[in-house]
Amino acid sequence: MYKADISVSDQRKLFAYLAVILIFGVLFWRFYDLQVKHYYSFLERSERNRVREVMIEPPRGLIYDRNGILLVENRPSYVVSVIPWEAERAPNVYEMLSGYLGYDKEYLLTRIKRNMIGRFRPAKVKRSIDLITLSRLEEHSNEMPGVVYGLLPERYYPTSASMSHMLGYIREISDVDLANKRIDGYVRGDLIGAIGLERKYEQKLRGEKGFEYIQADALGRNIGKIETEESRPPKPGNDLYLSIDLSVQLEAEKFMEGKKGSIILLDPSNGEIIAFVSAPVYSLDIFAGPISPEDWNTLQSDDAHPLFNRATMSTYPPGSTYKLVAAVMGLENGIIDIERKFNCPGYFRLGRRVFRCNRVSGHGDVNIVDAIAQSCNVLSYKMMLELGLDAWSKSGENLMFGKKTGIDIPEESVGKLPNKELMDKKYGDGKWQEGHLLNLVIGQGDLLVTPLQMVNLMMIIRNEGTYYSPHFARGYYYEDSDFYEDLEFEPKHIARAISDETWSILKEGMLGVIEQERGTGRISRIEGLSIYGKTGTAENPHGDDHSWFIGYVEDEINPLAFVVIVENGGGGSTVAAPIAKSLIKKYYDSLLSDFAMEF
Amino acid sequence: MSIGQYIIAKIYSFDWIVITIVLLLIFIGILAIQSATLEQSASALQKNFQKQIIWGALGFLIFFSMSFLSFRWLYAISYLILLGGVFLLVLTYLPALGSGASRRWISLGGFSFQPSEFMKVFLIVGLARLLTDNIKYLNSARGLIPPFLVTFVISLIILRQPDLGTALVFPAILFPMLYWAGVPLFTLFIIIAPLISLLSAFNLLSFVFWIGLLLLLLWIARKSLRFIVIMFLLNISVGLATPIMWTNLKPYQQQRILSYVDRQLDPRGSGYQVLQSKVAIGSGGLYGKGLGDGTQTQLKFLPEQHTDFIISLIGEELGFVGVSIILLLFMILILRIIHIASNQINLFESFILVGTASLIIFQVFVNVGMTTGLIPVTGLPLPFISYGGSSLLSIMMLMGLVQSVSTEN
Repeated sequence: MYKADISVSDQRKLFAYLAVILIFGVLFWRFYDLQVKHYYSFLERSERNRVREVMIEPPRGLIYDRNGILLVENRPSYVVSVIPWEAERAPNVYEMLSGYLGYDKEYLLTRIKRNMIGRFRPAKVKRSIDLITLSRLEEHSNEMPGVVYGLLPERYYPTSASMSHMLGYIREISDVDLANKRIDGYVRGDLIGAIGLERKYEQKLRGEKGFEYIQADALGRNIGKIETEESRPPKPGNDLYLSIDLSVQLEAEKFMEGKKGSIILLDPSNGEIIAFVSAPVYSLDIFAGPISPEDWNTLQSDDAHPLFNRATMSTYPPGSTYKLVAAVMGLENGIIDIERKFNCPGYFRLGRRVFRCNRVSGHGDVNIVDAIAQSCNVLSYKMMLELGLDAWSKSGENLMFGKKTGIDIPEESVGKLPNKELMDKKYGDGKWQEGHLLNLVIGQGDLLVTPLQMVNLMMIIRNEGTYYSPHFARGYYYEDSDFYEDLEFEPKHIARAISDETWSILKEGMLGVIEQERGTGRISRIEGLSIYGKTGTAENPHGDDHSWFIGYVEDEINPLAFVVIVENGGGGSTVAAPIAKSLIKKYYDSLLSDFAMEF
Repeated sequence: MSIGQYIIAKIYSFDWIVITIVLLLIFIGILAIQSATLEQSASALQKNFQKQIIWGALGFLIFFSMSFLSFRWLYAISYLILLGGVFLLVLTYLPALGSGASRRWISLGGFSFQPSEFMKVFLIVGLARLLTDNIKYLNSARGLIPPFLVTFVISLIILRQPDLGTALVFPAILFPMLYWAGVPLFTLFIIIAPLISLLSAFNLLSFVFWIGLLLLLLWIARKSLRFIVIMFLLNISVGLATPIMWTNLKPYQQQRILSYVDRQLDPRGSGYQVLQSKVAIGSGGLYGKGLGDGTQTQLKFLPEQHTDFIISLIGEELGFVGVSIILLLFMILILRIIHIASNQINLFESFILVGTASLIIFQVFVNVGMTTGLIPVTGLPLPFISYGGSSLLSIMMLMGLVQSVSTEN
């Protein structure tokens, strides 16, 4: 049958052609009727049909401390936007508007260009408008079609604490973020967390935008709302609950006033950060609205680099505090034990070079516990020469140096943990010498760590190998469903297990730092608290020594790990240790007062 | 002749009018989709533009490979194709595969498609075979019942999805093919008559008018009195039964039927969409407001502006000139396909061409008709231009077949 031939009559073919032409004729006629004959009436209708999509910004989630004290809230502020398509149809709109806003016209145009989503949608040009400007704009709204304003909640910080580096600030979204596929649903002009917790928990804090559709007349005046499927109210962001204790935080900030450095206090039993300071701090208030160019320049050009998060990003030589890592190396590799004693004459001779110990008269015969407590260099030198670079690097790696701790703010450095490869690269293959090793073992030379890594080390030692990613967030509160969600942080374990004996020797040494007659941190002793510590004085080629004090307080219910570093502060035992002592006191006093309040 | 030479010879004999028109239409469609998604805040919608470019490229691949298809082979497997299509349609009712509230899509992995779009192609092939095989019996029930039955069943499955617009496409393909097969116009009219009676019975005046017209036509055709009486009684009883059937339906059943007619396209009621569409088109004037400058489009007055209502966007932004070019391209394309069909000696192949031409002209008419307020809104895409992979790929399959026929001559 496939071969059957066609037998359509010519008449039928002709009729088919005619039918096609007729059908299209109808369609042509219809368009002619609408577009040519009735053009003006439809044009007029389309002019009347002007709808504005009004974005309603959601209030950003609030942030609370561990006791429910409000740290960050929102206050209403006004934002002025321009709908370019409407504004360009009337004369001199941009000239007038820039006058009222105190912009020059060029700047206004750059603002519009930067935040433009489309010519028919509002582009934000200025946030935090004061009421006088607002009333002027309102007065002249008829002469400035396409200029609209709305509410935009702005960050407000009700406490006197700065908390700048931890909280971070929000800013207009950048092109880089807009192009980032992992953060979805933003348009130009939107605000987004820039750094710190505002950045890390952006998705929880931001909430959901609402949309309203407003009908406007040909002059751009609002006529009324239109109900469409797309209009919806905004959804507020989720509130964030932190582990920070505001009273301790305030105290910590006070101690660092006028200094450069960092303080971190955390609960080693779960990794919750209780106080966090990177000094100098700055005021987040200047970032609440758009930051003024003067403020920005001042912050940028400040020699103390206040914008830099020292606690997580600055890398310092750890000085003697790093001898703990060397001790783990020696103990785990079996070259020393609690019995073995070394004689410290106050110096160590390597070839023609002399390496000094911190006590010029020498420590005499010391075992590992005394060496930690009194910070003897000579013992560390000897261990290093016996074991070499590899064992030392591996010990540091096992204790999480040269890696990120996973803290819940995006700013974090890995520091620098030298190994053979790195030394070969820097000094040439095998050209580095034993002198370099002796520097490394006392926490100098090419070794660099962050304060956060040091407090992490304290957590690891206190928990004997177990640790948690240090974190600020404890949970979220979902406003819309009235639901509180606890954040779970799983315990982690160091890669290679360390023997119980090593842990107890380390702890004995660290206890000796506080308790021994010649302990370097004796100044921090507090009656009734078991404090374990280690001081450090890090030599610094650019100025005075950095002063370190790290440690933890053993307490069954409320243990506390801490790091204090004061840049160019001098000796660890004289500068950092007293600060730590005061903070520890403050923390346990505040616990007591909470305790008292409950009864 | 080597394969390479064969391919080159084939390409030389391509119908360049068809190819040029198809290319132009797809290109205009992509431009319009880009404009429609210009102001969307969600980046997902902006991707529609990129996706359509990919569909277009894929469509040409299919077009090219289909143009090498052997019709002898297609004839042999045509019933199999038809059955396969019905099978796919039934699959949409499986909860694991169907997606969305309406059962139009099959989702497999990250990929989903509308089997009803491809069913159009399969039905054209199936009907071409049925009509070719039964060409001698088409003046009797024996030849007419099978094609009607097949079309009716497929329409019913799609009507249940629910998708009235697409369901109507299938009879719209069948009738022109029957006409091409030589079935008398009067026979076709008699077949449609009861359906018109049913629809017109919702309004007494239109029903009386219709019955009068029917009698007049029967009398002009000089039919026997007996035939006229039978036709009269049949249509009257269908018309009278309609209100009774309607009132006997449960309210939710009535609602369901109304929703077939009305669908989800008009949630604000009172022809809001059509009005907005007419305002958009009308305000475009002779030359249009320019791509990206249509206020109705860009301010989201127009719903479905990158799919079913894309011609409104083109009307607003490119004006009467732009729309006329598109209509002209469609008209030349359809006339060209009928021309190829007329010069074709093989019956099976010419049926496929006529089915294709009918499909395109029906979709163009319904789509343009609804956006300009000529006919009720049913929701059919504009071939080549509306956004949608299934629609574009299926029409490109048919264009490939057209090409294959034209190169054979």
